[in-house]
Amino acid sequence: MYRPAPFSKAALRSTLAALVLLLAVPPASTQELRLPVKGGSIRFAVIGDTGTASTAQYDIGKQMVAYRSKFPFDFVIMVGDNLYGGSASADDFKTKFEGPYAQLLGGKVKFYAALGNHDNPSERNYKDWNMDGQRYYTWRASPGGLAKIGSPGVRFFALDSNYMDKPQLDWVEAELKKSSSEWKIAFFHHPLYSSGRTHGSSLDLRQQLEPLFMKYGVTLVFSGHDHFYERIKVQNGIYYWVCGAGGSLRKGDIDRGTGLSDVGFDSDYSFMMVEIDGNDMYFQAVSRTGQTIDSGVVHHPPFPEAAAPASPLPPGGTPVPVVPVSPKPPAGPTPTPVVTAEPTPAPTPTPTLKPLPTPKPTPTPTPKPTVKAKAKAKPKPKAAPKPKPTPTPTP
Amino acid sequence: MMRERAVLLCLALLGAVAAGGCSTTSKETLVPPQTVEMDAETLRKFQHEVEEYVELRQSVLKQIPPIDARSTPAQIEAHQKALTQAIMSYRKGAKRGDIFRPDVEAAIRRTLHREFASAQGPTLLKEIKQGNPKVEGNPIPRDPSQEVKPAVTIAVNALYPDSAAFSSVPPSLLLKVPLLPEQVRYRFIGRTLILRDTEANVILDYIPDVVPDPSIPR
Repeated sequence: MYRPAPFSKAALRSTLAALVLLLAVPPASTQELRLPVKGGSIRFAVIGDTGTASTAQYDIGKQMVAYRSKFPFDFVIMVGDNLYGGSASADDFKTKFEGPYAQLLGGKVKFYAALGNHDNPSERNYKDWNMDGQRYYTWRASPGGLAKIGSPGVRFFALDSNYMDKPQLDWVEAELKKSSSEWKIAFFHHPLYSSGRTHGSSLDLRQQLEPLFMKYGVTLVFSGHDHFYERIKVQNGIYYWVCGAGGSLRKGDIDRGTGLSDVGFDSDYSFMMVEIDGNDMYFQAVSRTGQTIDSGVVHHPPFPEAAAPASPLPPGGTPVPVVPVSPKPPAGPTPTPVVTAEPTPAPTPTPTLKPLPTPKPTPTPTPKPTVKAKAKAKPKPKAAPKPKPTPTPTP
Repeated sequence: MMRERAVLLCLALLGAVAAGGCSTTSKETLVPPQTVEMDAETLRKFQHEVEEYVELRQSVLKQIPPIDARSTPAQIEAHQKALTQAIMSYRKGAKRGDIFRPDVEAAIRRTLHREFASAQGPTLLKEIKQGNPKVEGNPIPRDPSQEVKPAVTIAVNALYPDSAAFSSVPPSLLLKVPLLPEQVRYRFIGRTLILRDTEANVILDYIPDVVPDPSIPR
């Protein structure tokens, strides 16, 4: 009598693993892009706390590839902890970076890294992180390698928050001071604001950096360190994100009682995509399963007149011609950008949140665990949130 | 003679004006000054020891595979291993107090004690815990929500494990202790302040029990 061969344990494990993988990478239909993909815009992704060589890190890499087919970003900024367990072996670079992002690297996507507290400083010499051998550096981005006339200047400042000594602070101040880019974006590992139970806000670092950011017009700040996604309520006119779940995760680590969080997501891994077009900065945060956990747009008031790039470009940077940007702003401090929650008939001086319009009328499947993220992710046309005053930073 | 004195006085006045100008300029910066409370001779001795180490390191660099900003992982690995081995070999007889000499150690202890006892103290202690290898581990690849702490030995010329995280050193503390060149860093392991080569991962010297927080393991 014929009897089918029983499943071996190994075969069963393989089948289960395959099923898990199939479930982990959802069909393309769940990958809903909420970014406008405008011609000539600057597009990039943000990842943090990635270098674990875990399945989750590879899954995020796959999602980035999938989204890039719809949103062709040119580069990725890494907010640190790029190689957990150090870089003693060349294999670490392969399994924790080159492997998970092989398709992006093959597609000529550039990576710009900041060092985290798990990164050996010698990693700054790694060619694919474009750090030019420096632990802190700056470069001016341009769309697709060519700046269109009148495009805004976008300058990035990668800092080493592990060791913010006086020479670095002096450098930050000098570079910010001489930069006339309209968008000044800082990224580094330790968050100045975070609702993380494990780490939370780096208060001493904030005391040194935030006055510089405020004085010299830094508008966007990306950090990691806490292993989740969090968009912080605007603080002193600056927009902060914690984007530290690219390969590590601390489930349930967001303390909802801090009052800092606009949107928080700590139940799965995640990454961000950003598009800057003129005065608008669009963002979308995506989970490991491809679902949108947050999206919105930051509106920047009219820019000051642009001037020349402030610093020599790192290898791979593209020079941007000096172009005046109109209208000319009134004299005074750098204006604060505004996030809007709804289309408003007139510009408002106070920040509100606006989810980006979705291409389909049906609500986007949103991950369950984060009530706030879910609430923010569903646009409600008639429930226009009233302008909110800028929250006072937590002491 | 009178003319010489007058010239000197003028120069002194010009100097004072220039200094005034400088101080006006320095007020424009938001970055606080480096204020190290250490007598000049002690500070000079410490800087001398650090400079001597950096000179040794420079001579080592000439003998090992080079590295630059476009290096491959294999080149980084080869460079780092060679640097580590050479530094450990050259400093075979090094002992505690060679760089942090007793008077330097005493001055640094005073500074840290004062800062930790200040109103800012709890904030500083909280940040020192972050990344401290006695407190924080590495995510495990098969389950990155779990962490494992690598063993760290605190000894002169010991290897700082490549898998160990780095503690935060609060910026306001860094402004109160002698400035170090890029090749050398202060870090905390548990409650100990160490001096560490930035890339060679070697502990150069240390001062035990400087962090007054019993919640941090020694």
